[in-house]
Amino acid sequence: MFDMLKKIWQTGQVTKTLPFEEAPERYRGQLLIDPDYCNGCEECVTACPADALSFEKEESHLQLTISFAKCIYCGLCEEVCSPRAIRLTNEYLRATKNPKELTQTFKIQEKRIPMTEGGKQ
Amino acid sequence: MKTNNPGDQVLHAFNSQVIHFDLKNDNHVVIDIAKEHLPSITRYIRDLGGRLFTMVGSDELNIRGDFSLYYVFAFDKDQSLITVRVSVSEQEPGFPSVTDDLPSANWYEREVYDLFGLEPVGHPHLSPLVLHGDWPEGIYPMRKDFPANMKLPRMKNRDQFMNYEGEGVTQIPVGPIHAGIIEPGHFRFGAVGDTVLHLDARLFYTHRGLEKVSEGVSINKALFLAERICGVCALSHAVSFAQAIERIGKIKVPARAEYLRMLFLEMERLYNHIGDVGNVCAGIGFSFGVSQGAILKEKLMQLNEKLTGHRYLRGITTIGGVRLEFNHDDKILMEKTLGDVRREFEKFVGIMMSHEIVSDRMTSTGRLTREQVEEIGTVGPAARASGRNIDVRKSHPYLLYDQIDFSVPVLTTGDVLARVQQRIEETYQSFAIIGQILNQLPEGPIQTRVGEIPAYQWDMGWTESARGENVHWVMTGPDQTVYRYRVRSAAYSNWPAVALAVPGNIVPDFPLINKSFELCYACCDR
Repeated sequence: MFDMLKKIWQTGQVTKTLPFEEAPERYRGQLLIDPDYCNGCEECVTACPADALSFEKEESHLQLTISFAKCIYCGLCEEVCSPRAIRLTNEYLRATKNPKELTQTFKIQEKRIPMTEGGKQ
Repeated sequence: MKTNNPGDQVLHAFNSQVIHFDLKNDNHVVIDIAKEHLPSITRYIRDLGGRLFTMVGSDELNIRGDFSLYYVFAFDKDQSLITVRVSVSEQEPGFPSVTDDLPSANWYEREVYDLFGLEPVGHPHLSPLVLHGDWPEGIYPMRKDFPANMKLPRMKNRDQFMNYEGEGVTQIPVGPIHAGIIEPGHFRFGAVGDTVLHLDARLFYTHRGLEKVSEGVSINKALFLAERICGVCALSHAVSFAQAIERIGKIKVPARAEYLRMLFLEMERLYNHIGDVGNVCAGIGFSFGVSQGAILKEKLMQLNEKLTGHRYLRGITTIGGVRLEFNHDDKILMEKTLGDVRREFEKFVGIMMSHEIVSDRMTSTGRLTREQVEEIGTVGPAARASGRNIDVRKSHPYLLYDQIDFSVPVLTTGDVLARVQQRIEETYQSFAIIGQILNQLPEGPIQTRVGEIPAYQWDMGWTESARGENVHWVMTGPDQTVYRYRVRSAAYSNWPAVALAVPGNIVPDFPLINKSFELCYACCDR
């Protein structure tokens, strides 16, 4: 009995109150997409296991859509993105009451596609 | 010819019946045989010391024109495997059941009947297992002609439970929704007074059709499905799947990646075992134990998150290696945290195991004998606590476990207390394994380039998870896809043991017995 009380007293309080501290550096959270770097190669769409990314051809440009409702934050898109347009951050407070906020679209400028072999070298 | 090799012995004894045989990975013989010889070859293999590792039904109508059944047997002493393959035609969808000779085949054969419509003729208890009684009869979802998105009407429920005759037997239905945050399962007790006479367990409420969904999906995407079979064995499932693919593609994983996989597989075992030792106390209302276990488990999961980015270790496995950096600072952080957790764990179990409420309630409760666990094919800590020395890390070494010095604790009493003690001793082994891995961790690449994976090849991957061995059987399809995926988790092998351990105990001890196995429903149901 006393050994239990002693252990409880030694343990003290372990729960934490809001606001929580930052998530660990390696935590895979919110994606940041920089449309200026994107070349429309669609490697990320192929790699995504959750089909969260898609490209649509608009009149003057390409449109990249990402659904955070589908995203599983695995980070494969970041790995395959050669121009480094996608970056995962450790931002984790992602809850929202408005489902529309879970979809983001980006304009990708036509001039950057298609990626030419010459441009690569 | 070596006569002590089980594969050669079987081939020799069934020389005239064997249609074809093949050698897969040196120590794995694949034997094709006509289905009528299945019971005799099964008996022969069983008597040689083989145990059923997994059994897979596969619709191969469009490859070879029939269904295939693969009975995979493991020989723990020889580190070898034998697969017996039989063909079952669409016109005559029956095959002789082996459950009478090999009780561990019970669930596999019922599952094949449910999902493929292949009937195990002579099965002693052929009732629905995976599909519930409200599924339309005669529709078999794992056949290739059944589309994965098909919607079916719900029928009148045909589920049947044990009927009791005579006076004094009360039926107590429990679940599928429980008073607690646990998964769904329906249990029906036949009780005389306080004592349980019989337990019917109705599982597979969380059957999501994961195997069906992964068919035709690219291998890289299927890996993410494998990771989501279950929460607490996520890494074990992912590594098992990756190993199956790596065997098919003959991919050599770099040593550093294998060490890192082992490192985090042991972390998975640690957080599970420590959490489970604490959580079993919830079965006796011993809240000190519950919270102390939860605190330590939380520390380990936060460590997981810092090191890998994910508390449940998802997203760190890839075909051909790992997606994970691990540097000197990580090693220091890990050593420090695990040192603290180990010290706290020792204090905690010292207090817990010497407390009289723990020994009063756990001793001789939910006892399983060694004969019982061997007969029904129980695996993992539940089997080892009953004296069955079974651990695929030793008997069928994978990754680089053969370079690690550790022992597999085996207890004998087989009661709840033994299963808790078993986990405590395994926890100390895992601490020691992690210590060795951190000291031996080689430098070098963590991924290897993965080339083309050949189509229509099958192989297996296995890992010893915190609940026992997970065996993943994968057949590849064209263009780097999955053709057939069969997951045999530890929970699938161990759920029948729960129903066997409960009768004879009092009803209030059921939660305690159930928690002492700490089985996962999602793993079992898929």
